[in-house]
Order: sequence, then C-alpha cells, then structure tokens
Amino acid sequence: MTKSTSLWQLRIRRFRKDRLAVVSLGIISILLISAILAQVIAPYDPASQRMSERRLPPGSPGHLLGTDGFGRDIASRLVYGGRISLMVGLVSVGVGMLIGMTLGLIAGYFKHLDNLIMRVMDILLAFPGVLIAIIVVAILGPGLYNVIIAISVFSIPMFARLTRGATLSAKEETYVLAARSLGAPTSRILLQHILPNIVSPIIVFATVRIGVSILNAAALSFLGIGAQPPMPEWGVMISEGRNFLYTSPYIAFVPGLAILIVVLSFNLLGDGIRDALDPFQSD
Amino acid sequence: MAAYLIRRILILIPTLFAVTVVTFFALHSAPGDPASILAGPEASAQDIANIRHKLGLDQPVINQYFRYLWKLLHGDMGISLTTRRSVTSMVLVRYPNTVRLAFASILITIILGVGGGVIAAIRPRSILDNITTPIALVGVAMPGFWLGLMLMYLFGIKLRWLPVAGFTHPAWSWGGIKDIIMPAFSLGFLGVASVLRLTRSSMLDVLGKEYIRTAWSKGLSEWRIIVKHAFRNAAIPVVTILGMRMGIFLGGTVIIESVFAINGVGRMVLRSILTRDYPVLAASVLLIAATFAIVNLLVDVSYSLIDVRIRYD
Repeated sequence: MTKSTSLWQLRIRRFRKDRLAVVSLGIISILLISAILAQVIAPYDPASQRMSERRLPPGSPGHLLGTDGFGRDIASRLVYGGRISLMVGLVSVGVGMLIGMTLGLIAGYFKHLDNLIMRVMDILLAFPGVLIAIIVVAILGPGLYNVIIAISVFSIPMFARLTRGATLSAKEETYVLAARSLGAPTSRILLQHILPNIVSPIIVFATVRIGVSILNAAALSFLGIGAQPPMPEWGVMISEGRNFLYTSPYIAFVPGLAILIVVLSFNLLGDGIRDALDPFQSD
Repeated sequence: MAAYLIRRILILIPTLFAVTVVTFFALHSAPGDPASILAGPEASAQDIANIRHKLGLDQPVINQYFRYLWKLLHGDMGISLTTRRSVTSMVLVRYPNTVRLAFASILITIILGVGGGVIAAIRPRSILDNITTPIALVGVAMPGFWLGLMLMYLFGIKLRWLPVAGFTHPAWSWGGIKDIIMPAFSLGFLGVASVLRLTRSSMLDVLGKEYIRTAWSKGLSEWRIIVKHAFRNAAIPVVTILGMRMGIFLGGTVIIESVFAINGVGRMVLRSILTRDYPVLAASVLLIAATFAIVNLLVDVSYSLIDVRIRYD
C-alpha cells in the first residue's frame, strides 16, 4: 500500500528538487542568522576607524575582505549592512503588501469602490517607480526610515493590482457563493474564503519584491538620500568606495557583490516557490 | 487610426493633469518656506513677505495650484530657489541629455535583448541559448549603479578605452558615442534579461506555428522567415515590455546620471531634493512622467504598425 502524501508534502518535495531555490534559501538563511547574530559574528565594530589600517586589500591578516578608506573592517560592515538590507526589504514589502492587498481585496470585491481605488493606483503607476520614492523622500527628508516608507508606497499599486485581479475571479467561485448564501459576513468571506485562495501568487510576488526593494533602497542610499554615512548600509558603502575607485576598487566591489547575491537569491527563491505551488507543474 | 490617436491623446491630458496635481500637492506639503529660501538668510520679515506676495504664496493653496497650472501651460515653470534662474530654461538644457541616455539604453536592450532572444530561439540548446538564462538572472539582480562603477573601473581607469564621466562631445560624433556606451549599458543591461527571455519564448511559440512550416516548404530563405514571418508575429509582447522598460529607464536616469556625472534632468532631480529646490523638482518630475506617458502612447500606436490585424477604429 502506498503512503498518501498531503498537498504540502508534495509541494515541499517539489521545492527540494529545485537545487537553485534550495541554495538560495540557504543563502537567505545565512543572511538572516548573521543579521540576528551580527554582534557575535562580526570581528570588529562596524564604525570603529583605524587610520593606520586604511585601505588594506582583501586577504590582509585580520581583515578577510580588507578595510575601507577609514580603516573600518569591510567584512564587519557587510554583516551589519545585511541586517539593514534585510530589514528594509522585509518591512517595506510587508507594509506595501498589507496595504496593497487590502486595497486590492476591497477593489475586487466591492464594485462601487473598484473604479476609485484603481484609478488612484493608476496615477501612482503613471510615475516611474523610483520617481515615486524620490517624491516621498523629498517630502519626508532623506534617511533610511523615510526610504522604507517610500519603497512601501511604490509597492502598494502593484500589490493592489495583483490582488484585485485574483479577487475578481475568486469571487465568482462557487465556494464564495456558498459562503454568502450561508449568511457569512463579508469580512469572513474576504479573509477566510477569498484570501487563502489567492495568496500564493501574492507570496511569490512579495518574495521577488524583497529583492527589488533591497536594490532600490541601496540605490537611494548610494545617491545620498537614503541611509546616511557612517551607517554600514550596502549602498552607502558603495558610495563611499566610489571615492577610492582608482586605488582600491574592492571597497565598492564587495558590497555590490553582496547585493547581487542576496537579490538573486530572493528572485530564485520566488521562482522556486512559484513552481512548487503551481498545481500544473509536472512532478 | 486617426480617431484612435485623437482619443489616446485626449486620455493623455487627464493623466498629465493628475501628475501635476500629485507633484504640486505632494511638494506643497513638504517642509521649508520657498519665500524665505529665495530671500536668503539676511532678509527682513518684510522682504520675505514681499516675495511671498509676489510669488502668490500668500494665496489659498488651490489658487496657487491654478496659478501654477496656468503658468505651466504658458511654458513657465517658476524660478529656481537656488540659482534664481528660470526653471524652464534649466530643464530644457538638460532634457536632451536625459532623453539621449534613455534612448541609448533602450537601444542596447533591443540589440542585446531582442537580438539575443531571436538567436536563442532559432538555435535552441546552443551555447548562446544556454548562457542566456544565467545572464538574465544576474542582470535582474545587479545594481545598475554598481555595474556602472565597475565598468568605469575596468574600461575607464584600467583599460582607458572609454571616458569615465560626463557627456563632453556632441551626440553624433565618435566621442559622443564613446561617452554614452558605459552609462547606456549600465542602465540598459537590467532590461536585457527580461526582454531576452520574453523574445525567446515568444519566438519559440511562433516558430512552431503552421504558417512557418508553410514558409519553409515554400523554400523561403531562413532570414526572410525569421524576420518577416516569425519575428513580426512575436513582436507584440516584446514591444509592450520595451515600453515598460522605458519607464524604468527614465526613473533610472536619476541614478545613472549621478554615477557618470551627466548633466541631465535626473541629476537635477537629485540635486533639487538635497537643496529643497521644489520648483526644479516639480518640473523635473513632471517632465519625466510626461515623457513616460508619451512613450506609452507611442507603444500602443506601434501595435497596429507591427500587426496590421490590430485596428483601433
């Protein structure tokens, strides 16, 4: 007799077959652990400057990835920077998803609010994404927390659009009709019947958005309107390394490579989750 | 077609109107008093009040908006709070550089993305096809500003093949082309990946169709089949994504212009945020958003040129 497998077991098995996604999950887990244990892992204080140890190349004794223009240990700054990037990615996508999903559910379910909400979203989408973030930063002023708000704002319309589309089709399903005819309140229909059935594409999209948000936050910090020096944010580190491009290019190279690896991991993880959740994917 | 074009241009008007509303009211709520910035640190309260009155800043905000809109329609975008020059002239000097960068980037995306996608589709499982997916994945995840710096280091500093910064030559000269290669590649490379994957899958779809088999059996040349029969039919989704890319590139000019010290609208956006020069910021944002809206219109119109079955009347 064969053992029966649940849907989730099937999905996890499918996910585990995707080697790239598993490696990505591993990298993200390492990032998460190093972010939590930054104080323990980082060999030096990320802000402590040693003028006698300026611009040591990678591989120097005691400084695996070298030191920057102020003699700060790049590896330690990288570990602390990972904490910031992860926080920015998770918080901004979390907030954007929560607000966007709520608006999308309302727009998809209540016909009379659909036009109003989606037209406002269309106006937001009429601006190139970075520009929205820049307007928000212009109003609130430069700084890491304002960048998180800015990035949340420009993820809202995308989550709203995605959720609205999925809600529109889910609301015509018979299980929703059944719930409604049993007299279930609207809030329960939305949260317990519709939401669980449309949540997979939203999760996949959110995973990929975390990577994009980390990228955008680093870009804004690089431009000087996000995290401010001496914060060990990866974009700030690249911006500081830019002044030493002629003599010590690794100062800018290392944090950029870190961004590349982390964003790539989130993208591949998103792809892996999508394939694992896809019921039409062959096993 | 003409009727459709007119309708689309008419839709453009409320879009642009909404953009002016968002930028005006968003920036109006920003901290800082333009009149006292313009008057300078040593001005008296009376001076500031005079400037405020002259600029209409003592009026209700809704009146200020209509005044702004009225001036805008007459080509007057106000006075810069930092340089005290006309914003319109400042923007117009820099706009061509930004457009040049955005178009060069889209050109790079088309050459590498569409070209690579077509080749990958007609030679599936070839070396080129196999390396495109990893390049595509890395391309999406790479920070453009970092790519710019690394290219600058390699080709500007180490090899000395290309200039490290600025547009210093006329656009249509060899020097001008060398000026733009690295900035355009830094911006365009991010788009190559998605365009390439889409072109490949769209082409593979079309190449399996019966009319392609018919074309082969008629003995047409491979070139003719690929360009005229297959690519034209595969192009619609590709054009759509290229249009979307253009929006991302227009936003991305803010970053790349700053990396390569290009004197464009994007760099002006950044400087105006740091100096709280709101008239300049409003004008730059408006111009970029308007360009994006017009590009979207052109994309929609181009559908019917690519696929004659699409009619809008």
